[in-house]
Amino acid sequence: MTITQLPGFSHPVHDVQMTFRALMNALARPGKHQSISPELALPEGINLSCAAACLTLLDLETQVWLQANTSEMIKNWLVFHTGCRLTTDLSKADFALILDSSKLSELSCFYPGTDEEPQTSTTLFLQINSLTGGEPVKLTGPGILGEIHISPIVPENFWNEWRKNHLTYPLGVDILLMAETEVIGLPRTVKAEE
Amino acid sequence: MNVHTIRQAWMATLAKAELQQLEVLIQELDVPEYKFLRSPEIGLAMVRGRAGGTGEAFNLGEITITRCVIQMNPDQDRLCDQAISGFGYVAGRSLRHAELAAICDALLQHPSWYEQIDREIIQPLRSTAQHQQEIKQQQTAATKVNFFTLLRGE
Repeated sequence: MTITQLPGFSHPVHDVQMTFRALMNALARPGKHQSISPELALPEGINLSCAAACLTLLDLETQVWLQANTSEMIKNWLVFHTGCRLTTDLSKADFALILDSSKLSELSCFYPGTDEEPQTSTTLFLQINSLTGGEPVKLTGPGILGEIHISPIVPENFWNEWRKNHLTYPLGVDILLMAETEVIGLPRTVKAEE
Repeated sequence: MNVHTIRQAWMATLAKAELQQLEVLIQELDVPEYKFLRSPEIGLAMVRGRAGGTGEAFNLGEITITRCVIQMNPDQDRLCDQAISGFGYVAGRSLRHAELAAICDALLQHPSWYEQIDREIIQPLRSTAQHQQEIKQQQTAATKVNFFTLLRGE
């Protein structure tokens, strides 16, 4: 296997801490934009926030599911810098990296956890182009004061799939919507309406 | 016994070297520019052993190791050439030691640098290590005690 030619974070400690804080806030305050903008040389096909999240959350003990068309360059980069294990078994994946959102199939095919251990479900990093300009939706739920309106550009039928995912609570997947330098968190507790 | 490759041998020599000596030897060189692919970082590794070398593997304990990966391109003029990655893994917490070991590993992989580095760095390090090993053996040999068991007449 060839190793990557790209370095990781230039200031590993601070960059990881800042990224982690943004991701944590994204899930604690669903629907609010959090910014992630460390300095990072990116392999082709992955955006900044998605790459930073990978370097922050993946390690030797995490299993990552990748889409079939993910490039070797990205795989090598991930494995070198995080040491994560790549898996093709959806039920074993801690994280799923969706770089090509148009190929996102049903959310129900991802691992939703079990009644005893709902926290073992898969977390999805969904790379999208923009957090604005898409179909507007209203979010309500824990962590949201009243309601919040967002309009990310998501794949077709995404919000239908999301409603089904929300109904399986306490099981279900959590999703991080990753635009270039901003992220929105969608924990399974969030209810989405037109 | 595992089969050691030449690279494993030089990486071991670099890892076991005294930092001071390595530093002095490297100062003599005109090291090409390099950048970190993975900055030096400290971590833990579990050391495992086998009783008598053959028994079941057991965890002996954890050891602090420092690792580092650098990238350099010694032939700047030949742009098509892919950069060389040098790896340094050393026991302990010396970031600098890991960095120097990685630099040497990278240069040793380059055909036009190999001989110089082997002659000016690896060989001196090996002879120092061997010298120290001999001193230790002599000191140990001086305290050698032979046990005799006398047959007791019953």
